[in-house]
Amino acid sequence: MREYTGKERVMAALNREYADRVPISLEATRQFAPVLGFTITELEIDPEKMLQCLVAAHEVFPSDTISVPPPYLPTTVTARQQVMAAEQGAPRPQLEDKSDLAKLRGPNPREHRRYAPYLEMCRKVNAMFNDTWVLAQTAAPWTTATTLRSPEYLIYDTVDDPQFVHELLRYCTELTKAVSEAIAETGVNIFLGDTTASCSLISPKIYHGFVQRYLEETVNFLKGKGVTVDLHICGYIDPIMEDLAALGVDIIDLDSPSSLERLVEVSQKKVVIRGNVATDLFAVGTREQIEGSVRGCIETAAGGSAFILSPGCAIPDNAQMENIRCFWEAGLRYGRYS
Amino acid sequence: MSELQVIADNVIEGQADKVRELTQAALDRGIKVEEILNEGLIAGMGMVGEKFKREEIYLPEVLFAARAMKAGMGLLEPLLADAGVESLGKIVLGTVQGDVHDIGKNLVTIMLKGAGFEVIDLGTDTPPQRFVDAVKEHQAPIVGMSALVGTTMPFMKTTIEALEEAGMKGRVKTIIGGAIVTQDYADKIGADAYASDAATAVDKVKRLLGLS
Repeated sequence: MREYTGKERVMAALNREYADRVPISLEATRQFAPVLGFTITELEIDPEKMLQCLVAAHEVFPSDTISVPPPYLPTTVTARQQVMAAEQGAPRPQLEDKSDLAKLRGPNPREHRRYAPYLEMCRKVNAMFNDTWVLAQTAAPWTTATTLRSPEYLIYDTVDDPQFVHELLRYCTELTKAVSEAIAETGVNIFLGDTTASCSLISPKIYHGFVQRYLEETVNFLKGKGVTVDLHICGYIDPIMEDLAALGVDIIDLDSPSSLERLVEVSQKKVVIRGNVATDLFAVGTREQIEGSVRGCIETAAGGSAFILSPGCAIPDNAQMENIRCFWEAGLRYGRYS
Repeated sequence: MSELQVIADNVIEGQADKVRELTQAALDRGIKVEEILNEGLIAGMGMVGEKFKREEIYLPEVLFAARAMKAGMGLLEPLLADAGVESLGKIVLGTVQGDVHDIGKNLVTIMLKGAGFEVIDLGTDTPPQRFVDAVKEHQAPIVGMSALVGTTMPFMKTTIEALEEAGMKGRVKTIIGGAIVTQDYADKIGADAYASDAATAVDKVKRLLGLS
């Protein structure tokens, strides 16, 4: 059998066909920072250094998917503070005062000082890796709302002031649509991150009452533009799996607290599943544990295609390189279609 | 139904204003502070913890209940010392360096305070040395750490190492938690305990201190 490209493998999964093997998604960009002599903070404030790490990681582990590094979403507080200190008018003010919602104006991402470089990075990465399935991240409405208001306050608001929550989610939905549309114009696929929408943080009641309609609207908008949508919700989603499987996304990116077996059963191959090896295994797992997890995921979900092997979420910065390699090699070994 | 049971029920229902009102009423009627605390607030929160462990409720319901309990605690805390209610022990608690998520930490704080512990809450983005300094300052025997994302989890190990380097190994116990943290991870990095949720955290802390 010929060797397929990463893009072809993912397309085969999306078309419910078989390529040479199960596609593998392995994002180990940050873990190559020490290899190239960078700190994590340097990566988060210098997109070019992040890109160098991405290239280096892909040379060693040629993942079938690549995520465009999000330079405007630094995860370390130090990096975030440096980025915000260098900018005027940060586009994501904190809504400790709910009345500040009326003052928010959604940026034009094609011109905004923070989004415009990200769009440029999308174009660059897409051109560099045209045989690979390239994704760029945008936050879904609920997650954007929790960033602006804080998850705790927003949860309280769902009872204390539900109208405010809907108003905020309306703003966040328009913002998500605008950013996603601009990202899609660069030719990459959308990774829709709703990191705070799982039942590890909220309840099915909040999901159904507040999250679902805006997520649905966003997905319908993107599908109307012909965009492939990969939805990731960190944590435990079993109680809302049927609803997520019915959203109309192309790929559900499953974290390890959730049941792969259940999602396979619920989705009936109507959606591609990506996942869901536990991320802590990359830091402290044994070879046997990692291989066992990879094999288990493939045996559970790869039959009938529509499956991409990946870690359940972002792998920790202290992931052992030997564990990353173990995952990769196990994916190649157990994922070969006979 | 007893007055204290009504307080407990309103904690379970997350009715903060009602809990505050009922707690004040109980105080006005001369019911002992520790009775209101134990049979009203802690009892209610204990039921919430059990329901959460049985997966009958989710984190938001726990948050609302904790808010209600906090409303009652606000009236009782100034009176606890006078009532001779002693702290069960001190815990230094924080979200690790680089991490700004605090819901879990805040919940654990409320639950631990409700259970009778003194909590030194260091907040979020807490570097290892701040944990060490807080332990020294407050002579706390327990350090609790929370992390929500894979990129900040490593700082749990770094903090444990910092405590060891400061000569606190064995004297200070560590407990970790967070959505992606596991027992396996806790074992591998040398944490003394792992808690999957706030209610379990209270049980585990009591066990670490030999209180149960």
